[in-house]
Amino acid sequence: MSPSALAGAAEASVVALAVAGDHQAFGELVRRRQGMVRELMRRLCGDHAFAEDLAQQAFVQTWRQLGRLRAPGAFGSWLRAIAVNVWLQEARRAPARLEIPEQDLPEPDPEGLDPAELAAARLDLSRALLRLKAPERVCVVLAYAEGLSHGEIAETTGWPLGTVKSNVTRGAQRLRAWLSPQGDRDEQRT
Amino acid sequence: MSNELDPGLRRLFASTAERPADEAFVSAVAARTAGLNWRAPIVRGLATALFLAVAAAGLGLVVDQGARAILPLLNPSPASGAVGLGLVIAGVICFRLLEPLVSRRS
Repeated sequence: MSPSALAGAAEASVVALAVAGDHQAFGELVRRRQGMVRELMRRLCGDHAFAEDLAQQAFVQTWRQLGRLRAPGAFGSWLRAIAVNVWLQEARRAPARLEIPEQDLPEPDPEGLDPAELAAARLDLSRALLRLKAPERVCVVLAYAEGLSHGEIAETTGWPLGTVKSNVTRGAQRLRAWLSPQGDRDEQRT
Repeated sequence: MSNELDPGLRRLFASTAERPADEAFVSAVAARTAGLNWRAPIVRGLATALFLAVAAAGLGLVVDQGARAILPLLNPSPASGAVGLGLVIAGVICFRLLEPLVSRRS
């Protein structure tokens, strides 16, 4: 199939071609799904270059495991699960690379910053996400950035539903506390 | 879609989302997957399984042939027991017959 025909083809057809070993078809799938995977990795890693590398690794894993895909229609969620697993493996292997130690974070200083600067610093969502533990970060990103339900997150990660719910709730509470000046002051008091 | 999500956080995530298309990324993935064939691990697995099956069959044959030679020695028949008993009795008789000759010489 020509590149232009691939670009206009339904995803299930392109997936079927890729499963049959068509490298061009797989390239088309990368083109279509790169945004989702790169965005997911960027949210989870914070570091742009490292996120790009992990996103590439996720696609390499996907190409290697294509023979195991049973339902072409489920390619998107299958790819997302592979990407999450690639990140979780990295988080287990080198946790220090994916977390910011508490003491390295810019501590809020309401006396030294005007409210606008403080708000801008607090709105650094990327750095705030890096404060979360790996399971909380994955669950929060999948829920808020990817729009997945708790059940879908449980399917993607393989974790129990109760664990997913508590990770989303606790992670969101901590993010709110960090991103809202008032909330952070409350957190510091308690 | 998940419910019970914080609307403020949801808006923040939505406003900071960026999913730009990047052809360089597609090319990089193509370069990393070009030498890889997802069928290769399956073929390697099948070849390994075939080799192991042949090796196991060969080892089984060797053990079987060895057992044929060894087993008769390990499991003597009742007849061979009787032969053994006969040999012991014959030995005792020989000893009794020869003992007087030996003692007479000494």
